[in-house]
Amino acid sequence: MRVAILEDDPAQIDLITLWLNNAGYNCHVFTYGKELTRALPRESFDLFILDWELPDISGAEVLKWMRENVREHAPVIFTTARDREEDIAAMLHAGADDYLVKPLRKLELLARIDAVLRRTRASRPGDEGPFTLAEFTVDVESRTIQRHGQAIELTQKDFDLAVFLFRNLGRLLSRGHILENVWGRSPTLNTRTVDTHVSRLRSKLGLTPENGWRLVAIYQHGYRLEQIQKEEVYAV
Amino acid sequence: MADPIIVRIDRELEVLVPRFLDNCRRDIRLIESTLAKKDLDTARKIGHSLKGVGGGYGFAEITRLGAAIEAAAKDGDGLAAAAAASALDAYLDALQIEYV
Repeated sequence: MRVAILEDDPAQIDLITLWLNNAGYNCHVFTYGKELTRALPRESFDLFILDWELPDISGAEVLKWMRENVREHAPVIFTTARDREEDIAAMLHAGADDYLVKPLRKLELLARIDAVLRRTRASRPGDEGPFTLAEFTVDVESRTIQRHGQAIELTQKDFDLAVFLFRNLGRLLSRGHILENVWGRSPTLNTRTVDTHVSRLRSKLGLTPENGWRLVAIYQHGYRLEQIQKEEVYAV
Repeated sequence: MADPIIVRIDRELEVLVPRFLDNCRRDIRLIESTLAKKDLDTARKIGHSLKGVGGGYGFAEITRLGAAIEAAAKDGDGLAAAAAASALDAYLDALQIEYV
């Protein structure tokens, strides 16, 4: 799970990243609001944790920018030492999914992240056992994918990539996001690895409009797996 | 010498706490110098930051005194802000940590 943290206080950054890394999240820290808004057109994250007071633009302005410019509803938790009821209400009205008053507490933070992700990604397939999507049956435990009941031969990474795309059906995922989830964080890998595997997976799984699927490459960003209606096929 | 104040901290934070406390000391010196220059706004910001982070590391007293610094600086009361910073200095002197 990829988390963007917008925070300028080094002590807070140390604390939040330690807790989240130890809980299995991949953290990406931004210390300036504009640094995050510049990254968003080419990056994707599963969750945002935004501080209010920053050296350039405020976390409130970043949230407003995100809600106006990012197509999908990205889950946002606002964290700040401001504890006035008016501030909390204003940020929730502005589109934050939750609000935590600092100082943060580890168990509460992790539980709220979990709750926000549950609410905003309610229908992620495959979190509990095998799942079926159209002609595909995916069994994460036995690491197999069947299409129309026929097992498809996949490498480990192809399988991981397919599951990640199926679970994020309809979401625009950056190459970095895909790379990190499937291959982990490694300085020796580059995003071309993603392009190669996506192309191979498209062909192996038949993710084409004739079959009711579109695995779209988005210039300078990444990929989105879409399920399309049969009638849309002829409009492509 | 004041009696030690024993605080139990989650062992997970052992790697971060020494640096955090060093930075608190540095913040206190910074508050003292900004107050000497009548720069209450910088003192307020540092107090705000201490308020927001102390409890997360397990030091509720740092949060309490940070809030006192912030409130005093916001009210334009440099003496009260300096007194809260001095109390924070004394607290750090007396602090003994047990990682559990």
